[in-house]
Amino acid sequence: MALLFRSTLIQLLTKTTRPMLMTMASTGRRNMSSHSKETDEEFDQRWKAYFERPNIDGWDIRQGINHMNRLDLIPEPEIISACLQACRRVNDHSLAVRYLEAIRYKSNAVSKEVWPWILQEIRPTLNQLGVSAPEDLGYDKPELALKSVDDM
Amino acid sequence: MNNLLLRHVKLTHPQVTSMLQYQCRLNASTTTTTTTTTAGSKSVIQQSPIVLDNTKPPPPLDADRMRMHPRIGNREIVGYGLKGKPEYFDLVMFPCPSIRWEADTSEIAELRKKEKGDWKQLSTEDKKRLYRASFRQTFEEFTAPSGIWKWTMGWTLIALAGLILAYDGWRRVAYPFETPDSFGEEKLKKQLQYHIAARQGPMTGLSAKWDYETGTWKK
Repeated sequence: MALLFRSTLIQLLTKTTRPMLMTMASTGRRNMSSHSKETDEEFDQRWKAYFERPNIDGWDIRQGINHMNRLDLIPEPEIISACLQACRRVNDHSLAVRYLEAIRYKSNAVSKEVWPWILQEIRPTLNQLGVSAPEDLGYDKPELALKSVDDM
Repeated sequence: MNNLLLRHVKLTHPQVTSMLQYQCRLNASTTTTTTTTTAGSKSVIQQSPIVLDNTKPPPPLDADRMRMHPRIGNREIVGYGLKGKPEYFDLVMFPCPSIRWEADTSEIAELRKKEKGDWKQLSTEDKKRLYRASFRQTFEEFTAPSGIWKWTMGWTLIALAGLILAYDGWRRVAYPFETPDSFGEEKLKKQLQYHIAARQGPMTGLSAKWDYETGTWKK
């Protein structure tokens, strides 16, 4: 599983350095298949627009989160912020925490440095909305010891 | 009757449906949640969550709920889930299940009203209570290592040892060894005499301990 996310780490690093290195031309991406020739920015824009809809409801947010979780990438901080704003609009704080937990789990599969970076990037949104990160609730360690569903 | 898990039975007969409703209500009214919201290292076993709130009228039966009614009780359906069925699940691949974990009791309704306001007003306890109302386990909990590998290793080795012992036992039973006559006392004595006469082990072995001048063992 870690092999799938190698490209996302490089993607993240290139994205942070883009303002500094103007010569970095990573706009076009060519695929072997003719499936989609969507660039990274288009992808980001599409998902941001999806979550920024003013009358989005909980159903669509959950659909979006589940769908995006299946993809072989960790969402950009902008997409994460848009999703958290959407959670705020539907007044569901636990959903926001769950989303952050999912991203934390995924990013820890890649490397230990990704999650602190993501947290740092979305900290303004977290402070503005009052969303707690999983660490603030103590959910970076297991709290309850419940029987696993597989053992029932 | 409580041991017969009716929730495992497909709802086909109206009589079974009412039995299932009865059992759901029984479960809900006699159990309480014992979740602790302290961040200590005490491990608490959570009893059944409040799935059905008897004080509320039954929820309106829409298409989603009718597929599973009354299995999910009063719990709110919030999403698509895995395949459109209103079931709860904790999966790494799909963080958002289709229903909340607990039914909306009055206590939780209060918290939800608070949730509509500023989230900075919610205390950590409130937030944790809300989370547990929507979800059964956190990511860390259901991805925690279960330690089953110790059981697997242990039982594998025990089974292996058992098989080896069984094999050995079978060989002892199936292939009995009648000792030949050269194992008898007289013949063994003769063999020893021959060994000493042939100077077997002259330096550090057998014959080194035999005194050839006196014809006895060395002192």
